[in-house]
Amino acid sequence: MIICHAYPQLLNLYGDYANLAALRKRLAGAARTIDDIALTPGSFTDFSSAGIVYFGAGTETRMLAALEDLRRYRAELEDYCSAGGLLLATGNALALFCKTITDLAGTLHEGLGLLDADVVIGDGRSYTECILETDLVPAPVVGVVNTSLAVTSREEPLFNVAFDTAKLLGANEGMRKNRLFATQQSGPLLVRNPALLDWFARESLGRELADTAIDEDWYIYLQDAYHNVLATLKKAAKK
Amino acid sequence: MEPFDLKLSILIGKIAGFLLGLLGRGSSLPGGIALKLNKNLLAKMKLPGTIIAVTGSNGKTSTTELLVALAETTGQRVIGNVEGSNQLEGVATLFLKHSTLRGQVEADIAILECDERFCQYIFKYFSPTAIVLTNLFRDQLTRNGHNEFVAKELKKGLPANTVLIANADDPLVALLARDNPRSLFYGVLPEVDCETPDTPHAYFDGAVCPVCHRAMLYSYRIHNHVGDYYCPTCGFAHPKTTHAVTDFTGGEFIVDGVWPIKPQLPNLIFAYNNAAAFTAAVEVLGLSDDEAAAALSGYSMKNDRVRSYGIAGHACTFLLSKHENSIAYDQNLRFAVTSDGDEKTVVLIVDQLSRKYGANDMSWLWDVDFELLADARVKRVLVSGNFSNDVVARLLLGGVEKRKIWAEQSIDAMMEQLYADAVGGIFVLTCFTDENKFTRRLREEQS
Repeated sequence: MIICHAYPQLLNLYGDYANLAALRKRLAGAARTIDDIALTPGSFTDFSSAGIVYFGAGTETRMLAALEDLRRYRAELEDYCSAGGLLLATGNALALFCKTITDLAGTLHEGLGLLDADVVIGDGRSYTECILETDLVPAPVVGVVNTSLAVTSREEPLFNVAFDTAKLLGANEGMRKNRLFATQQSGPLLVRNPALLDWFARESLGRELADTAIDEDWYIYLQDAYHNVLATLKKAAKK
Repeated sequence: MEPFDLKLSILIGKIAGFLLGLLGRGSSLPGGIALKLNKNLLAKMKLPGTIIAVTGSNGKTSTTELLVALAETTGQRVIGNVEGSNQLEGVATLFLKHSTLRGQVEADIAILECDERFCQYIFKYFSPTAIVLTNLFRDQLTRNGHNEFVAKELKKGLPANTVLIANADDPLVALLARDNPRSLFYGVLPEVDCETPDTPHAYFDGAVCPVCHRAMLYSYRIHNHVGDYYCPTCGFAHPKTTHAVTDFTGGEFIVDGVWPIKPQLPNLIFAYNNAAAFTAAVEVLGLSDDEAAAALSGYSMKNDRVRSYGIAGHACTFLLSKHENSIAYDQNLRFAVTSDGDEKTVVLIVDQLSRKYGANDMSWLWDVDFELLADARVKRVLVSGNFSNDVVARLLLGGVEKRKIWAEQSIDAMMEQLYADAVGGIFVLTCFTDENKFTRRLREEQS
């Protein structure tokens, strides 16, 4: 299977690459081969047969630089998503798929428009830690949002927000359309949430994982870390 | 005639400082109280004639301490916030402490460590003579977002009439100083130490030009994105240095090819700190090159980030490593792995991210080159603290063998394991938020 990492140097701000490192590890026993391809500025990459295309977060200027290059792929991305291709965008990479992005200077940038949403880049930063719910997995999802974006979405949300420490997110977070998933969750979302990692591994592979409950050390530590974070956030929520 | 509110705020601030001092506290609260009473306090006080601020992600505290030592060689009265309270309140506390009730600060030279996000608030009230810009790395991203955001915020706090003494090797820093005609640059040349272009890192912040965001090229990289860069698209390039550490042989830094400095720590980070302090001392304080080199030579840091202990017959090196700061960790991991000896035990303690901000985000672990610990010379890796599960998961996904990892949240249990099972030289990496948990336990073991 093919894992496509979009702009790995431009969009790798909060350890986002770890999502793919964990995905590769999770798929290691299930996929016969895993081929990595990357979208890079100026070159053309055929990702039409990718099991998953992943976009991580970048600084605001780098995200906009990626957008400038990504416009060349608009038709291919639309075809890929329309055909049910799996795409995950985390952090401010969410903005790439929206209709418009307004930068700090007030300049309007046309996004790819695959999602019915608009984004405004703010002057400050917001940070929150959260517990989320989604029908993708039964377990609560834990996450972090570290952002300068204000998002106005008319799409189906990806997550219901059960709790966020800074009361930043409102009732919902993220967007989904077919199998395009875009969320402001920053950094290694799949590392933080082994159940979500399993879901994306299964979906990118296109079939069930043989080992539904793996006993490899790395995975056990991920689960332990997940439970620690969840317990901490639940304690904070009670307060 | 001074306004009454100035005297009153200074008096109350001084009383608060005295009382808090009795409790062993008070590096920023007295200034905070005085500023509440008189928000223009710093604008109204008569500040020293020469003020040098030091700001940036890494190296602020060490460079400030070196500059205080250099300034003291001039025979003038010198003050500095070497305790590291580096926001507006900390700076106000320093000036209060050395001020008369009329607001006359009794010093000729002030050396100020300043938080890079808070320069805009501190220098609203006065303009320093010079600002030393150390670097802009990924640091405390939970509060700082990212280094471009910090650069944007720092730019708001750089007065136009202030001399900038900037690290030429860091593109974001050089960009900040580029438009100031009074900027001076310092750096380190590749003869000192250098990475190859294919040295692996978890990320590379020098991939694109900070001006035009097209691909940037390097003729050499000292470490990470620090080196000699140029942008073939827009022409942005490494500026010429006024002073640089040009050689690094026999445990000595050679500045400008001439001036030897025998440093306490012959490492890359300290080379940058020395280059920055040397440049500020010569160009702003008026020391001659040989006076500056002589003062830096053999200087023993009070704020020592590297300490030596003995543990169960093993030499133990404590390497203070700021959590949420991957380059600090990378440098210390590299030091641990490559230092003399074929067998090492590395201890990682990640118990609390920040005393102030209460964040729990472990994303930064993925920015650190923990893959270095896969090196065969590292025989044991002991992991401890609240976030030990996150650290171990990171190590395992980074290719460190499980058989050499021992992990438990309890730092006490880790210390027992360390005493029982250490192999070769011990290297302990942790942050100032967690260092006391280690040193307290060490004292107990050794008493």
